[in-house]
This record gives sequence, C-alpha cells and structure tokens, in this order.
Amino acid sequence: MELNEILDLLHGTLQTTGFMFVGWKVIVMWLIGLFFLYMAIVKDFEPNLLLPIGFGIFLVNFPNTPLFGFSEGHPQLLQFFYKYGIIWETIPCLIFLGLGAMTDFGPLIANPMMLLIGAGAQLGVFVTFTGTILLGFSVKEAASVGIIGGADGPTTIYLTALLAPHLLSANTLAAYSYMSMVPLIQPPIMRIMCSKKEKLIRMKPSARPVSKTEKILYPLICGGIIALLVPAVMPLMGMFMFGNLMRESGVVKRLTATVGGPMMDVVTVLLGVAVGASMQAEVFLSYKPIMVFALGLADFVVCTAGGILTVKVMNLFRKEKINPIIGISGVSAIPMSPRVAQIWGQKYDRKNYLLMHAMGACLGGSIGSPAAAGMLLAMFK
Amino acid sequence: MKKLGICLIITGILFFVFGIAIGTPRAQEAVKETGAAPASPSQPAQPLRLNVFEGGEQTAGQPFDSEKLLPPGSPQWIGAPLMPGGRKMSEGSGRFVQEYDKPYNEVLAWYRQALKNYPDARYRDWSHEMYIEDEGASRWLAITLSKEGGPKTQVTIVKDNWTWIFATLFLRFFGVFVVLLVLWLGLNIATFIVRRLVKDEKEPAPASA
Repeated sequence: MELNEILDLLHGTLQTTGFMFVGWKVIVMWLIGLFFLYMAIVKDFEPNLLLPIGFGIFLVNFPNTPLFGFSEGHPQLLQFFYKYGIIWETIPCLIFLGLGAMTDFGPLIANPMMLLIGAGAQLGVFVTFTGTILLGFSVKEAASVGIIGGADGPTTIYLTALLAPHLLSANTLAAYSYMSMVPLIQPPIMRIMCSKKEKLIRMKPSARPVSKTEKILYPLICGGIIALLVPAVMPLMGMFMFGNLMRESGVVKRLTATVGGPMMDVVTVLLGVAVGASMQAEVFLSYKPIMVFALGLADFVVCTAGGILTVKVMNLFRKEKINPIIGISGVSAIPMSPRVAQIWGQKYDRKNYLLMHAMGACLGGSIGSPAAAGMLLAMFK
Repeated sequence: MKKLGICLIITGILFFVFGIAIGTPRAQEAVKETGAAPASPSQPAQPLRLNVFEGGEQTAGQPFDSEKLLPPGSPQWIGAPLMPGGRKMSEGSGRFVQEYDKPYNEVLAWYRQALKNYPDARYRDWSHEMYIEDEGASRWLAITLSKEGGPKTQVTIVKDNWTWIFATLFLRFFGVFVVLLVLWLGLNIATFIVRRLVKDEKEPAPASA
C-alpha cells in the first residue's frame, strides 16, 4: 500500500467523523448550549426547560450527527420530535391540555372583571408588531415576534410554527427566558408607573366562593365563546378547556393526574429538546434571532405596562379601586407574575393580600394571549 | 347534580342560539369570499398551512419578495407583476392603475400564472373585485382586479402603507377586548343563573324544616 493510498484512507475516515467540519459557528453554538445548561444546573433557572433546550443545542451542533436531518426521506430522531411535535403543533396543544388540568379558574370566575386586565396586557403584542415591521421583518414574522410579550410559551410556539417557523427557536427561547425573568423585569416597570398612593390601595383578601357548578360550566362557556369569536385559536383553547373540564368534573381523576403530571413532563422534555435542536448554527447565527431577543424584551415591558394602564383606566370608573400592582399579572406568566405582585404589594403594605386578585388577572392573560394570537392568525387566514 | 344538568342544558341552548345567530352570516360571507359552498360541520377544516409550497414540505418560512421571482426585464410596478398590453390610467407614489381590454377571467388567469411561485400571495374573491394580498416581504400591499368592467378590466396596485398596518392592529387589539368582554358577559350570566338556582334550591329547605 502506497503512502498516498494510506493518506486517502485516513482522509476518508476523517470525513466520516465530525472533526473536519468544526467551524467557529459550531463552537459558538456549543457555548450557547453550555450556557443554558449552566443556567439550568448551577443557577436553577427554569431547569425543566433550559436543560433539555441546552442539551438539544449542544447535541445538534456536532457536525455529521444524524439527529436533525432526514435519512432516506425519513426524519431523524430530533427532527421527528420537531416535525410532528412542533411543526404539526401537537406539543403546544398537549401542553395546554396539561395546563388546563392543573389550572383552577376560581379566582377569575369569582371576579371576571380581571379578564380586562388580561386583554390590556396584550398591548405590547400589537405595539411590537409595528416595531418589528419597522425593523424590516415580514408581516408574518412580526406577528410571531409580537406574541412573545404575552409570556405564553405554548401560544408563541403555536403561532410561530404557523407563521414563521425559521424563528421558532429564537421566539421560543425569548418567550421562556423572559417568563423566567419576570421578577427582574416587572418590578421596575411597576415602580415607575404606580404612584405611592396607588401602591397602597388595599384590596379585600378574598372574593366570593365559587361553586363546583360554576367551575364545571366555565370551560364550556369560555371554550364556546372563544370558538365562536376566534376559531383560529381553538386547537389551543379547546385543549385548555378540555383539560380544565376533566379537572373540575372530578370524575376522571386518574386521567387528570396523568394529563397534568406525567404527560406534561414527557411533552416538556420533547418540546425542550426539539426546540434546542432547531437552533442550528446556520439558522440561529444571524441578525434576526438577536433582534427577536431585543424586541421580545421591549414587547414584555409594554405588555406589563399595558396591564398596569388597564387597571388605571378601570379605576376611573370603579368605586372600589384595584391596586395597579396586579396589572403586571395581566401577562400569562403563571405563577411567577402573581407571586411578584403579592411580594411587591406586601413590601408597601404588609396587610395587603393581592395574590388571588393577581391570579385572576393572570388567568385573564392566559385567555387574552391566545385570543391575541387568534386575532393575528385571522389576518392570514 | 340536578342544578348542573339544568345549567348544562341552558348553556347548550344559549350556544345553539348564539351559534345560529353568528354562524349564518359567517357562512354566507365564506361563500362570498371563496365562491365555494360552506363546509359542512362534519367536514374537517382545512389546516392553516401558510408556508407550504404546493406539493412540497413546509419550507424554512423565509419571507419572499415577489420582485425576485419575476423574470428579468418583465413589466412591473414596485415588484408587483404588470400584465403587458394595458393602458396606464394613473400613477402616484402609493397607487398604480392600469386598464386592459380583456375580460376579468383572462387577467386573473395571467396573474395566477405570474404569481404561481410566490407563496405569500393571498387571493380574496370579493363580489366586485379579486383582491390579491401580499403576506410576504414585497413592497406592494395588494393587487386588485375589477370584475365589473365587462370586456375591460382595471388592475390597481397599492403600495404597502402604514395606515393599513395601524388600522388592522388597532382593530385586533380592540378585538381582544371584545372577546374577553363577551366572555366576561357570559360568565356573569352563567354566575347569575347558577346562583339563582342554588338560592332556589336552598330556599325551600328551611321552610320544610
């Protein structure tokens, strides 16, 4: 065997490994993946999501790995999760099913007025839409970026998969990142926008008790009304209300426990790893995903401000004033946002219990955000 | 459980009535817009697939500019294809109008062919015109083909404009309020009915005791 043949053999062997294809972009993506893993493992920052996302990024950015492509026309492992879970919008809907099974709408039913805060907090969605177009994004991309401010991960995934799949990883990551940064982002906005007098508005500790009948009727009424008004978003809302009906009916406890527990865990793992895997160097390392993060932050800020402004407007017409601090919970970041409202409310008045009111506003946001998504989807239907 | 049953029946009736009231005009509008019969309730709805090329897999979804798809040198206005052979009626910074001595169907067929590779063109078939809307990254907002000119067809190309963007955004933000207001109303009605029923059931109890 001649030297040239040996070199050819070695070259051929090297071509089957990943070494020959490692470039700076791949290394940057490894670092991003490792950063997410660090945040999840060391800082305990949304570990349920950031760990699978981080590992997905890390894994898929090794060259020549048969994970996110197609083999003889068939999707490879992570591509399979991505295609059938995210592009086909299965996972976001299953997450909503699980969320429905875990959510108690009691605080919202007791005080339905809180729905309006959830609507007002969608202001950022529409403001960011405009800003995004100004920055050169297409209308569909703008709609998918705008929904980030609603702080609703599954809705963001659902809308983005339909309108701008190439922004899916950036949008999802931005949505979940800002959701986990609620305690950092929302308080400064609240402090700037609320006067001392407003922060001290004391709200009655608890609203009226809600009967089981009302709780059973709620998913039927809410599901029916949304289906008639914003049918485009029913895959999400239908599952949300179905999960909630299972919970409130009390007759399928085993199913409710499975849907709200193990199924949610499985779906979260598949979602995280598939979203992470979609962050390939060629797709992710461009100016648009970076812009998405900046726009998403602005979006989240305006949504928070929108919730506070809505409370202020409502107070103009109400005898019994609402503490505008709960306006920050109009975004649907459950349970982080209501918890922040409660903590900050008690910083100003130790005897002020805002949690259940903020929870009502947050539940309003969880309806408002898919409603806003439905409005945006209707533009393209 | 009796009160739950009554409430369920009342809810069902409310939806039935509400559904008929809303559903009928919507179905009629659907016929008007698409020229097709409304889908029966048992028919599965067409899935919303916005970034799919005909006969292909879902694409990366990158927005398109129709200008890039036009053959070099072919007539156009801000990237929108222009059918050859027409008379220019008017041209401004935001609007271009051209008239053709051809019936609507011929002009439409030409535009369908010209835009066949452009995935972001949305056809809205209205009674008096065909409204081809751009949902991609083109500089034009819409191409409208008049239907009422008989042997003549007028083609109007409108540039993308902020009035449309702001108007549609305002309407949609307002729409979210409307949705949640209706929900609020629905919840209040349901609460009222449920509380009345609960009260009615509770009231006879002390009397019998």
